[in-house]
Amino acid sequence: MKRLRSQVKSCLKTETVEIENSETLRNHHHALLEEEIRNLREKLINWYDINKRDLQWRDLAKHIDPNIRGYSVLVSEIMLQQTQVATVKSYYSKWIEKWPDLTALSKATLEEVNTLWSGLGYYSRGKRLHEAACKIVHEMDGTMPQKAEQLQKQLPGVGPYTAAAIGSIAFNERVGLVDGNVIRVITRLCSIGADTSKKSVVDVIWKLSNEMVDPERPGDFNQGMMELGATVCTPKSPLCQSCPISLMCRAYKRSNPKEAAGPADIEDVPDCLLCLPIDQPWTVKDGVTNYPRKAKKTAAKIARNIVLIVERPTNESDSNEYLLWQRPVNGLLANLWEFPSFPSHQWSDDLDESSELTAALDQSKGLLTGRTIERCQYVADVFHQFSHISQTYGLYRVAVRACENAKDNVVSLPDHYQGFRWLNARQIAGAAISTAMKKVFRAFTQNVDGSGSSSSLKRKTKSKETGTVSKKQMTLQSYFKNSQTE
Amino acid sequence: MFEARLLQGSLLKKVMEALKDLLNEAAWDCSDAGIQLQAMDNSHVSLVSLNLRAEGFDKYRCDRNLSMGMNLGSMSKILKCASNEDIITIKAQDNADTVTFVFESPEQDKVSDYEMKLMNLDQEHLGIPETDYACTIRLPSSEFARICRDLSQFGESMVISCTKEGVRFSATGDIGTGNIKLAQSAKVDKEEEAVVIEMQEPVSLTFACRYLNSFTKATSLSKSVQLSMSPEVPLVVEYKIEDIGHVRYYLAPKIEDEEAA
Repeated sequence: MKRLRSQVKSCLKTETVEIENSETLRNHHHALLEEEIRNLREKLINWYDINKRDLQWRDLAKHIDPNIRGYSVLVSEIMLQQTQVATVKSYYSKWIEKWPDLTALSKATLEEVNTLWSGLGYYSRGKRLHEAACKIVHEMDGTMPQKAEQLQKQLPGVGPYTAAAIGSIAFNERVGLVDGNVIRVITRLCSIGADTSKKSVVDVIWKLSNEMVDPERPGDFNQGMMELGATVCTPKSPLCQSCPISLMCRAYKRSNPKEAAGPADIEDVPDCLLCLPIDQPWTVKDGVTNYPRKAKKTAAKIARNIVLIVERPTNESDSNEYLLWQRPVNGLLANLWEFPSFPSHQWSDDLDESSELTAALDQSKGLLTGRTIERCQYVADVFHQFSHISQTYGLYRVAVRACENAKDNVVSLPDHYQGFRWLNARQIAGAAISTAMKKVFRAFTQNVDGSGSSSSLKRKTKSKETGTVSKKQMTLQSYFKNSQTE
Repeated sequence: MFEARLLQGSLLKKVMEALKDLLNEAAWDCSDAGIQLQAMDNSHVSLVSLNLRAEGFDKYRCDRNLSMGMNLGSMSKILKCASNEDIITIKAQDNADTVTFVFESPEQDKVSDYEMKLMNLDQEHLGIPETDYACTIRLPSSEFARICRDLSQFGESMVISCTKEGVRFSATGDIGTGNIKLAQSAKVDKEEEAVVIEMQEPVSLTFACRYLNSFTKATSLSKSVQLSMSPEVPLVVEYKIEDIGHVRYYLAPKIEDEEAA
């Protein structure tokens, strides 16, 4: 009963007391003292000057022309959203070579943008970047806004993070910045154990970040925080021994009470909305990595699609062409090209899929007007992990031959789909298609060219015909669970 | 900085043979404890888990944990350039996008190095529970390879049954049926030639031959192989790699399909 009452009380508190109340922050070691902040700025920037990685966009961010500076940071920051530095490097240099400034980008077509973006994921980013360039060139006289607030308001695809990054790095505006790396650094620095997937908590982190940022060199300070998070203050096994700011770090202090300076005895206060939750307290084993805390992710959705690889012979004898269609303007993988695919039942390897297959073939009849289907074979299963969907594709090879009255222009597509093309293998490699579809096509060529798999092609029908007891091949996911990543 | 030097370079060549049949690409996870690799084949039916301990290397240094995504086809091409007697060193910088293989002849009169681009891989890591298996069977690895090869002529799948009398491998198909029984060895001179069965309860499971055949590509790594089975869980096929580690294969069984009557 007593317990219950205290819960009610803390709920009430959430509504009535603003957690940004600086009084709370000071009391519970969730903020730095002014003197510490000065020390932090100096140590961090010195560290960054010595340890920063050499990256192309960092050089361009120092260009004389403010528009080039803004543009180069805009491109790099948008590419870096959800994507690793190593991957971005090559895409970035290709991009800058092709479209060195906003004007050049505004003249590109969306198709060209998607082709270059192909493989980088989250394709709406490329589209928005292009829209932003068009907007600046056509509606803002080609001059990029220089304040974070305007950047966020006026440019498509630019959120608070990207706006702050451009403002501080390209235009030296004094704004703090919060991304995944900074969240980790600040939650450890200020022993914030609350769920960082909550907006209220992230708001506090933004506020702290704005307080901490160096007034003289905001861009380098922000990049230093991110770099520190990426290379030293890592999710698992952080390198506290080489951290320039461990002496003011509350989490470090807590795990090494004897060594570090700063406030003594950090304890979690039951009603505090920023401390570690009482039911999941500090553990000695995890040390610094007790922070940050995040509510458990919901499991990724499981989906299975049937993919029809429709193949037609061409006049040049040795290369076949394949049918691809273009996805709708909005939604997942917008505007990308793919092999016709249709949702099937949930992921399981060897279940009889014939009814779904028949339905898929029916739906694609409209595409194949005037062509006869010579054969349809199961090829392989391909698995791809999207960030929120565990997707399996069941590949079927559909060989078609044109009848006399075949007309290529008579085609009916599903709603919102934008068009279709026949491409050969080489053209597919250069087309704007997603990583998942590239995987699909690779699996297709491997399984069809390689002779070893002919038995598996027949697998489904064969077991039925011979009447032997059919057994279902299980997959390992029925037995072993994905261990948590990150 | 990562550096691992292996006097017996041929081991790495054999490890490669043991992987490349099932996997096109894989992430090599390096830490100060050693090198680990875990990956499933495309169909997610089998899984390879490789462990090479740091102590097993002639020289081993890993300053920072790193995960190197490699195209195994390319890596295999590179390792084919090494002779069996060569000393092999694998090197990478902490944030590099390439890895370097150095091959030295035993007399140090020839040194070659090959640099390979790394790739970004989606990491799917499965947690494999510690299991007390109902049966473990140790047998000469060449014998196991022979059994898999012979029986796969009969059918796509093979039944492995383990009872206290011994272990039976059987396959049925269009041309007929094949059965191979192995009894526990009564007395052997060499330990690695023995068939040893430890059993708590009898187990019988069905597996796809083509994966088993791929596993036997590891035969050259070890004179004997150990199979572990329990009802309704994946089979484990383990080859020890001298003093340095092991490669384990997990294979999901085939089970009665309720829909087929």
